[in-house]
Amino acid sequence: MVIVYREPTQAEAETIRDSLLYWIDKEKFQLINEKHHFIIGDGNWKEVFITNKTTSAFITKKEPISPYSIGLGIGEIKKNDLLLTLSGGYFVSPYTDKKVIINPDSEQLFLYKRDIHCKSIISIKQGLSRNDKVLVTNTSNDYLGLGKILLSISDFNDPKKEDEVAIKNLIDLGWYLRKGK
Amino acid sequence: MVSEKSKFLAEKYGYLPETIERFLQLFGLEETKDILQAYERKPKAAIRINELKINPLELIDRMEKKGFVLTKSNWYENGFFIEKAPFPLGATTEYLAGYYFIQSAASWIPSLILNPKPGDLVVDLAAAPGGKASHLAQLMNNEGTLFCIDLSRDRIKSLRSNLARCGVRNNICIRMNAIEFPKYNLKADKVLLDAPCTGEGLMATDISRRTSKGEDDIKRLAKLQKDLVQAGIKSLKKDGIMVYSTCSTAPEENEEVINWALDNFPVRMLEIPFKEFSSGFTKAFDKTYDSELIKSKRLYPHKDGTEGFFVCKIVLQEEVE
Repeated sequence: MVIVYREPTQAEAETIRDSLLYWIDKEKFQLINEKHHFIIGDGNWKEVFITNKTTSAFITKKEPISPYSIGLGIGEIKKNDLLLTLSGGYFVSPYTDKKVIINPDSEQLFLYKRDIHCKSIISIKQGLSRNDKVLVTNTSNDYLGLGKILLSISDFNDPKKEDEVAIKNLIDLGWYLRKGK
Repeated sequence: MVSEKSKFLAEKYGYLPETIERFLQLFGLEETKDILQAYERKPKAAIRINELKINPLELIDRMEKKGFVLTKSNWYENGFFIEKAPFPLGATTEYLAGYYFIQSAASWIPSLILNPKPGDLVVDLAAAPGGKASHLAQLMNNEGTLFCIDLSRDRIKSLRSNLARCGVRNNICIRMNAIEFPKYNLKADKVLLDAPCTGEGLMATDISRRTSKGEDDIKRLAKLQKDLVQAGIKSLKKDGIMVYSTCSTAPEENEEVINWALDNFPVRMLEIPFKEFSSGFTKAFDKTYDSELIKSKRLYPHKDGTEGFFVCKIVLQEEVE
């Protein structure tokens, strides 16, 4: 399958913007939009990459270049939503506060694909709800991966639920060892 | 003709007799023994701190708190040797987060010598698995454009993964035969060619190479290396710089390849600012090379504590079609 690299269409650009606005506010999105260029890799699926202006200019040159990839792949457009990849989570991490901090004991477990139990959570951004996505970080604020909240946040501190899974592991940095080699 | 001395040393250290014979002709008996003994020890593990993702001081502090003992390289500020590791270097959160790259000290040199600047157009003609490519992106501060070329389907996956882990954003990865890269007619400021080679310099870490690669491999790879050098030269703009390196100590894969380039293209060699390393050969076996080859550098396990390595830097004086 040949992947065609191109600028996003108007509809795709809106999807990217609307999806990123879940993670970051308009002002920060504006900053990102000024600093980076979005590129679509259109093949079996629509992958979204970010790169710089100079690099993105190469895909519109007369002599066609058929890259394997360009810049950093941050997500995939599916049903009018941008689903962040592992790198996508890293990319938004400096700009977002939708984060959960987990304790050192659970950090290694999370990096081995394990879900996060209530008792492992040190803190989480208030205002998040069940089914929301969240960036998972350690106490040093290192981005570890992406998770999905499975319980109400008010349940996280309930001693009866300390062994329940609070956050499902969607993807973690251990992927680089398991699949990225 | 293989001498009895070669047969004895080959038996003792587990090499092909003809490999030892070549070493004896190039280095003499005493230095050959030193080299063979040095290849019995693995070089110290080393890391390059990735400034695209972390401040070096912060990483050192974190690694030391985890029980790692690091010593700084005396010729590269982001290069560190690992004296003690309480657990594998590839299993830390810091590694997975892309804060460092596990990379031999010799492998820091080509990117440092090429010295790309933010805004440059740079081509890495044999980029996978991405150690040197991510280093180039780091030196470019993710600005400009870095073309990363590799033919292998598996290795380009590793390349993409490693570049992503290191937060590289200025790259265009192309899976192709690098010999064909000039067809794009992109004239780069800088080209890195860390060429496929016999890996003769890796005999400490990969013992199988002591017997798996012989003179036929050297000849076959030297032909490929010349084709790749030609592709690199054709991809440069006037005054563009190319760094050529291999992890082999065979002159046929190194000085002879560059000697061929000096004879056939408008290029000249540039000095390399690493005086501590040995100079390249101007004579090897029955051949004499251009005196410019003295500007190339060789690293050896018995002298430098690294794998065997060759590196040189050339400049293109007028564009080649």
